[in-house]
Amino acid sequence: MNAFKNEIFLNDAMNKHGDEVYRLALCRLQNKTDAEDVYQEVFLKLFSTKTDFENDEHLKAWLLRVTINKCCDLRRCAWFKNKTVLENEIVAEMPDEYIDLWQSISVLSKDLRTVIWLHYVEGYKTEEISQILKCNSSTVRTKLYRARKKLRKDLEVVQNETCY
Amino acid sequence: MKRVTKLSDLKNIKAPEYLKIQTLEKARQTKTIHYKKRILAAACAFIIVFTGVYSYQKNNGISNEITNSFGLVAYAANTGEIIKPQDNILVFEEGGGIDSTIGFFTGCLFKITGENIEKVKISLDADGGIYRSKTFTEQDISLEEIQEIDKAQYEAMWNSEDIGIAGAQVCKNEKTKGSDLILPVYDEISEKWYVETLWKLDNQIEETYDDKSTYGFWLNEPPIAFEETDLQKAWHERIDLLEGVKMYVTVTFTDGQVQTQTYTLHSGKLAVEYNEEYQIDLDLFDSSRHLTGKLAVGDEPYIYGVYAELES
Repeated sequence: MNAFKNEIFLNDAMNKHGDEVYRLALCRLQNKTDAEDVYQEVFLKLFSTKTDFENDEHLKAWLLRVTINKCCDLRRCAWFKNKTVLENEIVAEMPDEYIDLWQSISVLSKDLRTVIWLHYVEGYKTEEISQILKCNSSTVRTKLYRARKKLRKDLEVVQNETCY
Repeated sequence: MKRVTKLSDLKNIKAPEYLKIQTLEKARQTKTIHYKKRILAAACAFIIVFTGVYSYQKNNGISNEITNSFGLVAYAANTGEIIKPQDNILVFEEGGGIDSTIGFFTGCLFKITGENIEKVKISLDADGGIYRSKTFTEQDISLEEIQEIDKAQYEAMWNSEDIGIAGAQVCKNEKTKGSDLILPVYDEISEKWYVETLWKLDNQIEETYDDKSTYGFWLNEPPIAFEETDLQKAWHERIDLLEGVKMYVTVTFTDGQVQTQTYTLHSGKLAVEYNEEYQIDLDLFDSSRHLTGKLAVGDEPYIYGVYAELES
């Protein structure tokens, strides 16, 4: 049995889901270099996994779960603290119109940041997020509520609907 | 008032194009290395079988006297690789270190190897002690239990609580009894769960030999603060606490024979090798780097870490 998926499969997966993996890693780690590392690790895992994906949704869910795991691994590793975190690095490269929003999201805790990202940026339903994060959908809804509340306050949004 | 953008507009953030190219290149290299390793593993297996047969014949043909011996090998938790000592120097891989409020678990792991070992005794002359580490699989701990640990771990992580402590608190399995930290790890390749279990022990321990146990050093140090301005310096200072620390390993064999080895721990430059075509990517998490088992000399690439020197 072949130990690796072929390069065409890998290339397709990166074209279809690469941006999403990258954004999620960026959202979790708040550091461009680390996000790039996680991106590579995730797709190299994909390259060597023996999982047979039933469909594209299965593949996408697998990629996001592995991204979360990789971010956790990086965070928990003592070596992580050996690296200098340049928090403004992302902001410096970002178009002006996103800066305030990004900074507001950045100050949220990791859990709130992740659920709000998956829901509002990537468009996942709460049930789908609960599958990715392996928690109850009620927990996801609670976290979404808290995150929204904090974001509203921070952004001083007059028309809430405009924001979301 | 701050500028307002739709959250969904952040979807316009794209992964850099070079990332895709780099990943494809690395995937090709991974494939090549994998096949080279398989060939090498097959060759090594042949050598082990050959030398094993040779030793057996030698022992049976020349002498019936049994000479016991033991040794230490370093264990890389991240990859499961064993690093053998070279010229009385044993270098430690540190990828699995854990910063915790109950101490700093260095991730410098070692195993005691040898035949007919009954008991082991380890003493560490440091402000800290020894920890025992064991990895359990889904065969040892049920999937339901592992998921329970993972859930507790996950919640703790969101709440910025200590890594591993929550897992140890919820796990009721006999095999992990008395453990201080439990870390569930999901391996995406095999799609199996593993559970790393750590027992924080004293600076002098004596226990029945278990060839599945690995040991490491913990230090009585608070976690490095994320606000720390120079994290690399803080990390090196912590590693340096092991400089000059003495470790005594005493083994009792089944025939009653006792042997002791004395090691001195040092911090310093451990030589590493990178995949030739990936010299530019010198990231610590890059799986293409590995310790050579030697200390770095001159301009050799290195990581700052811990090694033990066996006193002759």
